[in-house]
Amino acid sequence: MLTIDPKSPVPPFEQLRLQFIEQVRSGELAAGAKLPTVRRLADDLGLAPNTVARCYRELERDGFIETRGRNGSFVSAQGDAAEQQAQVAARAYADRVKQLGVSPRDALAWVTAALEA
Amino acid sequence: MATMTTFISAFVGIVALIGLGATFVPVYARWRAYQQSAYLHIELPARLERAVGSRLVARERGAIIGALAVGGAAVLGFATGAFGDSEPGLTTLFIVGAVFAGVGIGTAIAALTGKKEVPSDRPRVARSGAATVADYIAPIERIGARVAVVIVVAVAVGLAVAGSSTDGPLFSVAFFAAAAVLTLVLFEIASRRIVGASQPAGSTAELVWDDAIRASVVRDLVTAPIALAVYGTIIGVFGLADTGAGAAAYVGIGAVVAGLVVALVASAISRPRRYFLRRLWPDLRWSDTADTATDAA
Repeated sequence: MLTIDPKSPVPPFEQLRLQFIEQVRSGELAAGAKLPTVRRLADDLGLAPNTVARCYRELERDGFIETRGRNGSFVSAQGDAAEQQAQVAARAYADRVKQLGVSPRDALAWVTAALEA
Repeated sequence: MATMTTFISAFVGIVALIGLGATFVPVYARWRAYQQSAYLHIELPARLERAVGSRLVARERGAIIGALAVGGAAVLGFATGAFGDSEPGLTTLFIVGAVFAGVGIGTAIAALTGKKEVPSDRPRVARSGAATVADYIAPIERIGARVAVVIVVAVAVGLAVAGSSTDGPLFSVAFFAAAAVLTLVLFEIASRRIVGASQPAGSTAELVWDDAIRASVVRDLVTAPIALAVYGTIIGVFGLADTGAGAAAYVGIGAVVAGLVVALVASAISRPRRYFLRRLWPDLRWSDTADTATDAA
């Protein structure tokens, strides 16, 4: 089930994306499950089609879903794609921290603070 | 048209008109909503009572108007002799067949023209997976309708090959077969459009009730092709027996009767009205649709 709260400070796009990710991770959306079409989900949730399309694009980029041409969008076979994506993100963060010359200790402290916020 | 057929048609017409009048009475709409709630074991929140009741009776109104229009036209055609003369029993079957076709057409129009809005400042709830027609109607009805229509077309072809005259059962069976094919096409197209339409909902309860109404409409739509195909097949197998097809026709009669009994028993056991709950809401509890439990609003 997806819920979009128009009064929430979190943008609708982000609310949608996080809920999809959570459902894929928890198994509520099983691998191979078909997602609603962009237009249908936009109508159902009262969102602009571009918002849903952008969400689907990002989910596809992150390996949570895949588009099979005109057949629509489906949940990708996961294994632990979320962990893989998290590791990719961690690698990118570490590379950037090195470029900036920030100490690993400070970088870890900021990540911990961000996760606990 | 026989006096008895005229009398029965007039009686059924009056009952239908009374039923149509009832759909405009708020108490009736409320009663239908709670009746549905009790049967499906879905809580009906007080704030949804009016919306659910009005959608249920709008569908009923469409079905009754369709039945009155198409059935009435058939009665008028037979009464004035425009459709020619036929046996009284056959005339009744034609009229009942027309009523079923009218119910299907009226239900489809009522379902496809209804619109539902949710205020833009309220939370919106949607299903994260895609649903199809197969989620709303049991295979025994969805596949059964296709099988029944194939059988009645085969029987019509069999009659034509066996050399039945156009004055005999061939015309009747061909008529029922054509009507069954048309209403099956109507079911296939309308059910896809109904299920494909958006479901704006402000809470889990609203979504569950929208699914319940959709399932009910889709099931109403499939009734017409099944009924018309069964009528045509029954007339056809008896017609085949008369053409001298002999033992094969009697085997066919036995197979049709046995198939009907098996389908009816299987349908009753599987409780097809609750099928959509098993498919779309397998973990739903009575309290899940209560206002205080999961409503996002």
